[in-house]
Amino acid sequence: MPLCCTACLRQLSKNSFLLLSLLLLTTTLAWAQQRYSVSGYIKDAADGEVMIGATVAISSSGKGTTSNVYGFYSLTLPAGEYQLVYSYIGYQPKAFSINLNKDQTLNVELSSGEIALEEVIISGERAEDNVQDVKMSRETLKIEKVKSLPALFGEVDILKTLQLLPGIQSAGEGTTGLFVRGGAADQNLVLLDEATVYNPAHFLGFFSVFNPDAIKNLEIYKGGIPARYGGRLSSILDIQMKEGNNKRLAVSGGIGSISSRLTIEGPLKKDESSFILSGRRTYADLFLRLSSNENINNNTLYFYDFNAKANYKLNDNNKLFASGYFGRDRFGVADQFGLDWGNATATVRWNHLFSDRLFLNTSLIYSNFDYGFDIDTDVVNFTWNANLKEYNLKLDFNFFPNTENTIDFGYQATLHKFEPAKIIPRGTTNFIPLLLDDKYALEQAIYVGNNQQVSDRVSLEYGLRYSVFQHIGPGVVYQYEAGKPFSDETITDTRNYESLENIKLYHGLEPRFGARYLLTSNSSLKASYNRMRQYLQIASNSTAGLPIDRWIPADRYVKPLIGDQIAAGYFRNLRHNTLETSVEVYYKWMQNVIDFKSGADILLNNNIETEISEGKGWAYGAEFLVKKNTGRTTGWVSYTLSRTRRQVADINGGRPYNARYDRIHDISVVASYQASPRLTLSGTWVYSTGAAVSYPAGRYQLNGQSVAYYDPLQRNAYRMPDYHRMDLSAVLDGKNRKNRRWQGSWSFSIYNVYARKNAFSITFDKVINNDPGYDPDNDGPIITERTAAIKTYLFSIIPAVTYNFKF
Amino acid sequence: MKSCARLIKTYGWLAALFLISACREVIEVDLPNEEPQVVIEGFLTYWEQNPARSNATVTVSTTGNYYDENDFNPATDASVAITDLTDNTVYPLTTDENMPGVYTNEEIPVSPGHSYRLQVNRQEQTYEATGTVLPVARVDSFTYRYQPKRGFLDEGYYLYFSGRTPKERGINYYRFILYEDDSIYNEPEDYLIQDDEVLKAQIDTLQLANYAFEAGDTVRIEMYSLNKGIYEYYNELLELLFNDGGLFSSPPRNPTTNIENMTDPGNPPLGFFQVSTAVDGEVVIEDQ
Repeated sequence: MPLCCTACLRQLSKNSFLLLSLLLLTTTLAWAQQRYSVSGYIKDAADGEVMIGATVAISSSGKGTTSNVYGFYSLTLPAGEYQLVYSYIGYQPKAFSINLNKDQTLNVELSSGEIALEEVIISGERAEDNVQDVKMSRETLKIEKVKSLPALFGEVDILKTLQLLPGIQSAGEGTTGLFVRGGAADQNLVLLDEATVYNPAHFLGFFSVFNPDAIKNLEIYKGGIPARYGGRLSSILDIQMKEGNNKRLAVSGGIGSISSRLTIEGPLKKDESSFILSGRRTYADLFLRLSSNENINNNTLYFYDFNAKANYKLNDNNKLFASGYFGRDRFGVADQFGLDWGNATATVRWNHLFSDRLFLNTSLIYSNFDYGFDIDTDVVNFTWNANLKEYNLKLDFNFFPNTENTIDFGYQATLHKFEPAKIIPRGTTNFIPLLLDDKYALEQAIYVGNNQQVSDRVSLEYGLRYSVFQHIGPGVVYQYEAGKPFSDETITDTRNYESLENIKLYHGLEPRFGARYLLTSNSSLKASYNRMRQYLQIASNSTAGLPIDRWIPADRYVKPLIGDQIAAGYFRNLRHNTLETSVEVYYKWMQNVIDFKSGADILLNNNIETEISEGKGWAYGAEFLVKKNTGRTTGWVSYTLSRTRRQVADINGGRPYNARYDRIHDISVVASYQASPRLTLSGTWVYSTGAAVSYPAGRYQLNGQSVAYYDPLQRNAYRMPDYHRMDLSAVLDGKNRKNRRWQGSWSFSIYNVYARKNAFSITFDKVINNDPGYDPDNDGPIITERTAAIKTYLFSIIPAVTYNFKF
Repeated sequence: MKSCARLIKTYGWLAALFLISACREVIEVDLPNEEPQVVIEGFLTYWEQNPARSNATVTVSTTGNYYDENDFNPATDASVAITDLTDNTVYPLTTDENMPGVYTNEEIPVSPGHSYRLQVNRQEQTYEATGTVLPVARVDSFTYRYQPKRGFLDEGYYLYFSGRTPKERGINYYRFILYEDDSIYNEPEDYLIQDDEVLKAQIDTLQLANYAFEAGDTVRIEMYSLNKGIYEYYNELLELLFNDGGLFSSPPRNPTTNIENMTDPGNPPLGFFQVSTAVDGEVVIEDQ
């Protein structure tokens, strides 16, 4: 089935350009009457933060628009008198009467005021958005919600909260890697203020790099991805940093079990320009010092994050933003072994209004990820460094021709530089340096998309993206004997390319389409299709990510990944929009998926094509979600039924097999209860089918070792035990006294309340006296010795306390 | 350099585990019981210092159930022979009841530079592998030196190799095996395999093992040259022996054998055929 469908999708993508032109044409035909626009920014009255996705509705027709990520909105209407209602959940709506006889600007501030218990903020969306918006397969999380939920060690982590949503899974307990609708962890584009974050994980994946105090908003697209995004197959995670309070200087922070945070924000110019500086550092190594064990107490282990952002309003039509992120992990054993890694990003943005209807954002972006080792022992003494850089230029236009259409178009260019491992021995040594070749690539895309209200019942979002990827010089390409497998032995020639010389070009169209059909005012059907092209990927044969993972570009031998996804859903709100429900089904095809040959040398290999096996993947599933956004009790229940399969030459005898993260059933229950104005109680419970794994089918003796035999036709054919866990938390706000700016709150959380020993991994080994940790020096004589399955579990019950403050 | 990459991975994995103090316990997991598979482990060794010691040993066995107490199921119904491909002379290997499943020929003349083919016939299947007697590094000395505690490394006496590796003929692959008072160091952690891709040709006191010896120990060191395929086999074997189930390591799979099944090419046996030049040396550790 996958084959025939990919063929028809390919046909669709060929025709899509024509289709798009037709649709855009019908859009412009609607222009006739004298029209004026009302536009401006929507902000939070308390701190001046712009509001993303706030609603502007025309009360007579119910039509309207929402603000973009810069808080900008624009409505173009026939001349006349209107009443406009500005709203945002949890905020008091404001209404303005306008006489639209010329273009006008209307900037609006909304206040949360005294939030009644019935209006606890959890979502920034309109109550009926779930049903009425054309977008599907998309989730928005408000940082306030994330902060109220229980967290491992009390460390609020947006990526782990995302894993509670349907269709988003993790690699294993505690890890932050996201597996979206059957996609691998490297198929997610993680954007922080538009800059790609290549490794969003600290501490080998147990914490994410996003300091919750510096983050305003996040949105994940699992499908129906708009044309302005591209470059990854499975999801786009778009994270915006806070802009900073432009009303007054404010300080906030927190002291937690393993980390502390401090944020300072304030106006550069009151009501117009602001800055924010936010930092976080863990101090796990301070606890290590307390250990009396010399193997532990002379080690270092910490990470930190630093976020900074400033915006400056030049005039009504021009605004500048600069933001940056810098974070690092450091791990050291005595003075002999050191490993550190981290991301750095910088974004400079310029918002320009050509007119009330045409908004342009221009961004210049830099992103870097690097890691380094430092080993200084007698056995080995060397430094090992690698990094990955990209430079971006993005031009994104928003055009608001009328209330029925919002058109986005733009151009994006990225220069990639890959510097894989460089190992340099030091001192008098027996070793010579090992320097892998750098690689360069240029990625460009143009796109246009429209969000069109066709009729009261039908709404469409469609677009087309055309992407071009060039692997460029300087570089070396190996030639291999025709008809033979690629290997060091079959190299016939090497070809050197000059700087900027084209080595290999890939390009293609990426059509995107979404439709909504309103059945009743509180129920709708939606469908979407998208094609994505991914030109770089992580070369790895393991599931969980490590900082040393190597990103490789598409080149002469490694083809880009191509993904097609269709999805359909039924959306219905119940009980006066207080309960949102949805069912979505999807099917996804992935071409040119790679896996690695047995014993592949991936990290330190200049011709990685010799280690690659190519194949395809497909995933399908159904996602059920019930969400309650208002009232004293809020939260959601989600259930995902899904399969993820792969078929790669030479693996599993060339037959289809389960991806390791294939989880058939996945359930999340998330609930918060506002017990009193000061006390919020929350709980989460998760259940999932165990990961697909390979188990031994026999045992033999070889070279004095007892070796497990794996049936080569049973890749990932077995299951780890089911996973389930409950976490609880309580947030107690301090008393709100007048005339006192200091506000404190306590967060208590318990991870894994019923202390289930969830398997992190299962290994097979020799066990003495039934004790996997048997120590011949301390544990007495050997009574039994046998081979057994050993379960490793990471976390039993873990309580944590955090104190947060602001003034 | 693969061993280097594995070292880094292991370090990272250890770091994760020791910080969050992971716990391990034995659990019951039902495992499939499959048809026995053929395992062939062959060695043909040319002893450079004493060519008369050169010999061939091939062990033929089958797999058993994973939880069976016994992991060695000898196959005594095989016929085993090695052919010198320079002159096509066939040397049969024989087994006896004292060492069932172990086929030997102590008289086989092994010549440096020659290629040899192993042929095993069992139950109407023919298995074949070839290998070449590649040169081993010139050994100048095996020495020892006392080291205090260094990070993960215990205090004690460490062994060092000095010599010259023939880099001019391409990348060379080696395996060292250590014996302490005649008992072999043969835990998975004891595997010492090394290529000279990132080594200088002239090697000066390269530390051999990251475990320490004590004063009074007599350590015998054997050094074998390996064909590339066998070096890769040992790398994959180690990857398998240290596999964590496929989360941070690759999914567990059988190491790639260099033995072909001539009768049923899609069904190769487990194991390998190693052809080597070997040298040995001895170090008696005295108090320093």
